[in-house]
Amino acid sequence: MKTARAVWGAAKADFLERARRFSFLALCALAVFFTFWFVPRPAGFTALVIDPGEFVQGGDPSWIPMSAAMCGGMLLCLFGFAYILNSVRRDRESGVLSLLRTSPTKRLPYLLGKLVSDALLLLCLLAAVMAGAFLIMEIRFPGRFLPAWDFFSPFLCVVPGLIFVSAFALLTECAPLFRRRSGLSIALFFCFSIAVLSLAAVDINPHRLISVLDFSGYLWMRDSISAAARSVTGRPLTQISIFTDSHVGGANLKILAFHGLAPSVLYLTDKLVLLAASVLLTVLASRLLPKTEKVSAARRPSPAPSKAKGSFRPAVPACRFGLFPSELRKALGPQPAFWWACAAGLWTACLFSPMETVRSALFALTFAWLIPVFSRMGCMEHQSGMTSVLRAVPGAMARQALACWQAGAAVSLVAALPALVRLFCLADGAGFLSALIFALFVPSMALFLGEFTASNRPFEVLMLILCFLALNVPSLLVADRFSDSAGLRMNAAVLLSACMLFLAFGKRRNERRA
Amino acid sequence: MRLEIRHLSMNYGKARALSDVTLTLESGGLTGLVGPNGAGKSTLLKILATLLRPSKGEILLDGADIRKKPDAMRGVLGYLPQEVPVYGSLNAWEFLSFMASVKRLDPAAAGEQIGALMRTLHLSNVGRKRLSEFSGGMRQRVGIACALLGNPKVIIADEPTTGLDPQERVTLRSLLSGLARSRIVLLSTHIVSDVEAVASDLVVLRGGKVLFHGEPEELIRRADGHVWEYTVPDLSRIPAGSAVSSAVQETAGVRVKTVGARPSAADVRSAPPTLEDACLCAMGGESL
Repeated sequence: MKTARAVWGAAKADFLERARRFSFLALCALAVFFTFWFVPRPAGFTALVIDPGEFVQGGDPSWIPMSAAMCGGMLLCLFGFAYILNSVRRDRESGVLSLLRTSPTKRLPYLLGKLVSDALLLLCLLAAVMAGAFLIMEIRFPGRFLPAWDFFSPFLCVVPGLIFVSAFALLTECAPLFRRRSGLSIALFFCFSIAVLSLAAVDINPHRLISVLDFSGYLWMRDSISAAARSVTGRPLTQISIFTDSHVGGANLKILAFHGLAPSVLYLTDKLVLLAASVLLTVLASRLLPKTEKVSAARRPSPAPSKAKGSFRPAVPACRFGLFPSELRKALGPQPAFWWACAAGLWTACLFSPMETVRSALFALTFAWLIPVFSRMGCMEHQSGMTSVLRAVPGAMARQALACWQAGAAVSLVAALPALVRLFCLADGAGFLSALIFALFVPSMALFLGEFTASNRPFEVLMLILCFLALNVPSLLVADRFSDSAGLRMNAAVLLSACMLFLAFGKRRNERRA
Repeated sequence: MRLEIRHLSMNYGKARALSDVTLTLESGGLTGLVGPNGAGKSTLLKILATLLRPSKGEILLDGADIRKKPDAMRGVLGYLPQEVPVYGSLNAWEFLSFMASVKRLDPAAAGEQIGALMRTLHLSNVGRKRLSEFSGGMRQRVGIACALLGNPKVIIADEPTTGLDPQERVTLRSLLSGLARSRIVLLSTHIVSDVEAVASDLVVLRGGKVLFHGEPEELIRRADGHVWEYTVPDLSRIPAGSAVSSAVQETAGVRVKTVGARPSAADVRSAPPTLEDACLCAMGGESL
């Protein structure tokens, strides 16, 4: 009983601590907004495409909860993971974990509390998606209510995955391998890979392990859709994809309606296995969480400062780009050898792989790997309290922001260089221009979000979504031809970059005056 | 209760933070732990709070070795760290409720105790305000309430008066002194006046070694004859290398009090030592 109370106490405090933050409310609003985007459309970029030559796309209200659960589940498992990935670290940094270590509460109840809290946060976001789906259904198909099972069951399918993601996030926070900054990249890549493998499993018989690890519930929903389609046409599906371009099909299109999840013992077992794995991961995390504080040799007393030789001479302003090298060191310095090795591997792959592979996967993956470098831009000074020091130096706030952006842009351009050079040599103007614009857009977005939110999470989440979408729609980052939509995207990216930089520098200037 | 620390050593890499510390603390009086910055006070307190594992030595709480059985200490401990950690989005009541559940207290009893502690520590009127909006002193009081939850038998406070105004410091000292009647209370500070009024037992630490352990009066008695007072026209006339305990501007000049060897000033006279002088004397390496 006492243990249960400790679990609930830890869960409640952690949930309230995070749910009351503005960022969580903003994320809920974003989830509702995204739901509008999840509505299937007959043509163009759409959330869900099912045999466009056979069925009217989005022709029945049951498409809305199904596509919302499918797309929402996939994105929630990815960016939700990035969002909740700091509950133990925050306790460690704030000292709450030290207080807990002096109490009789063991590590497992504490982490179970964290698991409950993390899962509740993600479930709240899922509830926001559900609310959005219900609203849209009312707008698009007024008065056509779905039976409760048809509406809720696709969302229920996502729940075990969200719990698994919460447990995996805890493991990455407690396991020494993941605690370093490159750990985020490794963990995100793991989630990324599972999501991509689940999507890729559409045309093949999925491996049992992929089926178990399909935390977004995509495969179960896909099979339910397939069963519904078979009942209409009498044959299996030929195409089903999410976040892709849809083209208008032929004449005599049929209306396809779903009836929630098709009962499946196999998938139900998978979900139960996923839940059991979540508990096991939490137990493992509790074993890996150190019982006492880590003793670091870095804490050794610093030697007494030596007496300055010669007379004191005031420093003179250095060259205009004096801050640039130190910002570059700040961004790249903390990355471990493993991260560098992978970055070099991706860079080389971009140089020598077939251009289509670079365009469809490697370019997005390279930028996904660079997330830990960009994510601290702009927010590092707020998190470390350096802003109060910078404000005291004339013009330092704006200069530091500029140098930070320059360093980010340099890293971004170097990362994109192989693709840029190859696109230039192939005289692919649209591809070259869009890749160049994207390479400059990323540091601008990082600086803007870091500056305004004082946190690295929003950038990580948005960048992850962007890279994930780019894997489904490669022309999103590297345009394949000059078209209206490509032109619109490029213009929007340039305008957005300029606005974000203007606002970020403007905020820095105002802070200096304050 | 009886807390025995035997031959305790702690290394951070090659640097030694504590060296062969041996102490015995018993309930029934507040123990003050004083020492300069880097003396090893926080390390010693963290080891006692089971946050750090010592490199060598043993710590016995009523005969139970807390290195092997940390729960023996954790079940009776109230720990107040140097910087009070809080969840900024929670209010004081919610945070204390969270700590009560972590300390495995009965919810009804915990509710009563939280209310009483908030009244004692003047937090009742801000109980619903978010902790992120609290001043440093108010946050410190929440930390104190947190440490006192569950009626602990051992209270370890690491520089608890930091950030408190003079009135709050006096209140806290009185509170800890009252609690010390039936508990072990270890109060670490580098401000000697914090322990002067309330400590019945004093430990002076420097460079990881215990320089003195005993009653404050004993330390003062030992410092007798090591404290000097004289007047100089201005501060620049103080002989180099003197350990200045206090300097007061007067009409005739600056009245200076130093500890250690007799200075070579003209009108030097021996002065009665205070606890601060005695501590400074001990920490300055004088053989008392």
